[in-house]
Amino acid sequence: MKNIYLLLLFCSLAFSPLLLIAQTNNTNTEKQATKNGKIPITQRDYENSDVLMADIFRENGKIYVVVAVLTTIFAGIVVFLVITEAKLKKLEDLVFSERKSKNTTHKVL
Amino acid sequence: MNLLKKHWWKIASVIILFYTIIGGLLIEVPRLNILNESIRNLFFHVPMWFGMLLMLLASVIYSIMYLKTSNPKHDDWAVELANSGIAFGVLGILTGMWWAQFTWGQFWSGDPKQNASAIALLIYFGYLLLRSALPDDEKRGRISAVFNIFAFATYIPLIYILPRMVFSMHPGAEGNPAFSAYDYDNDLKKVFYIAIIGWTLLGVWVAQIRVRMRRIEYKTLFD
Repeated sequence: MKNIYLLLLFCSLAFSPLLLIAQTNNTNTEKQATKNGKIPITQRDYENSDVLMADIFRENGKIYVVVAVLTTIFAGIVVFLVITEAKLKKLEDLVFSERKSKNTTHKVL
Repeated sequence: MNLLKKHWWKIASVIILFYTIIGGLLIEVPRLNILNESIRNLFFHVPMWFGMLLMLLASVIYSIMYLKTSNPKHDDWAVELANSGIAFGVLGILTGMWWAQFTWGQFWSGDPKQNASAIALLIYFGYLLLRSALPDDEKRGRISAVFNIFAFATYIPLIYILPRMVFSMHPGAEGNPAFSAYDYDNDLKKVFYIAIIGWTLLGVWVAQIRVRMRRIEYKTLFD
């Protein structure tokens, strides 16, 4: 019985590539010139100056402010996670070490 | 030393994500029209979806293992990995809406991939709803594991195949401008692929914390 679920999953996943093949066949007949619709990035895309980027922002060095802010926020989130996990560890020790001192843990909880 | 053995992947996740944030904001990126600097969203928006895919895949594997073994630990991992995956999916939709507003002109333009990912999320909300509706542990575990398998089998064509078969503004569809070529570009790859690992590990970290919370809950409820 359990194998039926596995079989169903396998069938649906096995079916997926077929759709992909059908799709690539379609695009090949319709758009051959663009390499499956992809435009490669060239050196010019890095060196042009006609596309607006945050150049002034970078020249003033202010982008580092944003980097600092984001890393600070992320560091804060990580510290918060670590503290949460430490508290969880304490709880685990309390709950799962009942064999050692059954009475005291019940008092605490 | 024991700490390092047990938590090395969490440390790796944090290091990778610092690299992603700093590198993602500072490396040279291609100067492309319409996208401009927003191309850097590749390191933050796209990994949400890849992370979601990986975590939902792990979730469905745990569901199959639960059906085979009936071990409640497998059910815990299945649901919490799905939770993390869904959270990533919601963040993916929200970040995608910001990106869409400033490149496509609308928060929601009914792009096939936007619609399909919204439907996929609804299916997974159905999974959580189904779980909350069944009070019996054994029954909930089995029925929701089967639902999870079907949900994943629908999710893959919905997000990764169907939007590619029709016109979509997302990269990968036919006739797509600009940065459908990102997979040609090695500089972007350097941060992008690693970012996927980092974000996914962060999701698994949260899932692990929640699984451990569940075990404490059971232990205190049933003893």
